[in-house]
Amino acid sequence: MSTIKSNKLQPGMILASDVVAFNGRTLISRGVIIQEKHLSILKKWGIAELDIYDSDETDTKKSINIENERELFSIPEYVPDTILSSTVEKCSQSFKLNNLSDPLTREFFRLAVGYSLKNHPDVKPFDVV
Amino acid sequence: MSFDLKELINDESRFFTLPELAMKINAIVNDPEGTFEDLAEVISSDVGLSVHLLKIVNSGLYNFHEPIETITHAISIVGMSQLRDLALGSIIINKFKGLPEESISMKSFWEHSIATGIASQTLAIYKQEINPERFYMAGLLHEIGRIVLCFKFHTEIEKIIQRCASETKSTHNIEREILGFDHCLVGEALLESWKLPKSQQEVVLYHHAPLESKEYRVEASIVHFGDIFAHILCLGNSGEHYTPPISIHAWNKLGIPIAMIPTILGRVEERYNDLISNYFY
Repeated sequence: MSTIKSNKLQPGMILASDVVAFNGRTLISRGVIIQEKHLSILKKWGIAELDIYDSDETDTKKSINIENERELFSIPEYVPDTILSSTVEKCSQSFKLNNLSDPLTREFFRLAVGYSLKNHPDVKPFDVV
Repeated sequence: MSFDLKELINDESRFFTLPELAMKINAIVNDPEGTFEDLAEVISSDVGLSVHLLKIVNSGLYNFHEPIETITHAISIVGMSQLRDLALGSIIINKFKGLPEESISMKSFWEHSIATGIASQTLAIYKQEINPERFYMAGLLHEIGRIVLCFKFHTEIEKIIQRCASETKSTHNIEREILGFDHCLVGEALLESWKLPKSQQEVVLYHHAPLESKEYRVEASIVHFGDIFAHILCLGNSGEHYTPPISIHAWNKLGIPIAMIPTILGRVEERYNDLISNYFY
C-alpha cells in the first residue's frame, strides 16, 4: 500500500482504504477501482491524499472488496449476486495471462465483466459504460 | 518438427491458393492502369459476391445516406482498394467454409475475425489514421494461419488446445514448442503467397507482439487491440483460450485515452451487429 497525492491518481488504481470527507462521510470505499467519475468527486471534496494498493499486490481477489463489485463494474442492481460473482470468476480465468495491477488491463477487465454479463442468457441486456 | 512454410501452403491440394477471382481483383487494383470499370466488370461477373458487397456497403458499417445499387457506384464511393479488401475478405471466408470443424468452429472463427476487423478499423478512426478502412482487412486476416494449422495438423492442434488450458499459456507459445512455428508465421507466409500488402503481412506476423514490427508498429498495435476488443466483447472465438496478454506500451503508442475505451467498444459492438446480419452468404 502507498499514499499518493490525489492529482497523481489514475483510473484503474484501487483504493487501499476508505476516502473519508472532513464531515466523516465516506466518499469512496476501500477496494473501489478508480474511474474518471471518482476523480471529480475527490476534487469537489478537496481530498489531497489517499491510499492505493501497490502494483505488486496484484491478486484481484485479495485487493478488491467483493461487496463493491457491483459498483466497481457499474453493474445494474437486477443482476443476481450469483451470476455476478461467477462472471467475475470466469473473466479472471480468461485474464490469466494478463497482469491486473496495470490500470489499462484493469479497465479491460472491468469491461469484459460488463459485456459478459450483458450477453449472459439469464440477464436482461444493459448498456456497458 | 520442422517444415518449410512455403511448401506447407503450396502443396499439391492447392487448398490454400487464392481463388482466381481474387487474383484478378488483386491484379487490377495493383495495376496503375487498372480502372473502375475493369474492377466493376470482374466483381460483377460473380453475382453472389456482388450482392454480398452491396449489402455490406449499404450496412451500418458505412452509414451512407442514399442506397448504393451498383458495384460501379460502390467503387466510386468507397474506393478501389477498399472494395478490393471487402471482396477478398468475402472470397476468403467462403473458400474456407467447408473445412472440417473438429477443433474449431468456422462460424465463430470468422465472427471473431470480423469483430477484430471492425474493432481495428474503429480504433484507427479514433487514432485518426489515414484510410482507416485498410485495417478491416488486416484485422479480418490476423488469425488466418490458424486455419492452415487446423487443417494440416489435426492431432497436434488438439494437444495444443489442451496444453494451453493446462499450462496457462498463449496458443502461439505452445504451437512453437510443438510445431517449431506458430500461426502468426504461417499467416504471414500465406498473405505473402497471396501477394497482399507488406503492411498486412507484418500485422499478421506481429499482432501478438506489435512493437517487434520494424516498419508497421502502429498498424500492428491497432490490430493487437482490435483482437483484444473482440475478446472483451465476447464476439466469436478464434480458438484462443485466454484473453491475449495486453501490450501496455502498444496502447501508449496509439495515444488514445483509457477513458475512451468504453465509447469505442460500444461503437464496435453496434457496427458489428449491423454487419454480421448481412455477412454469411
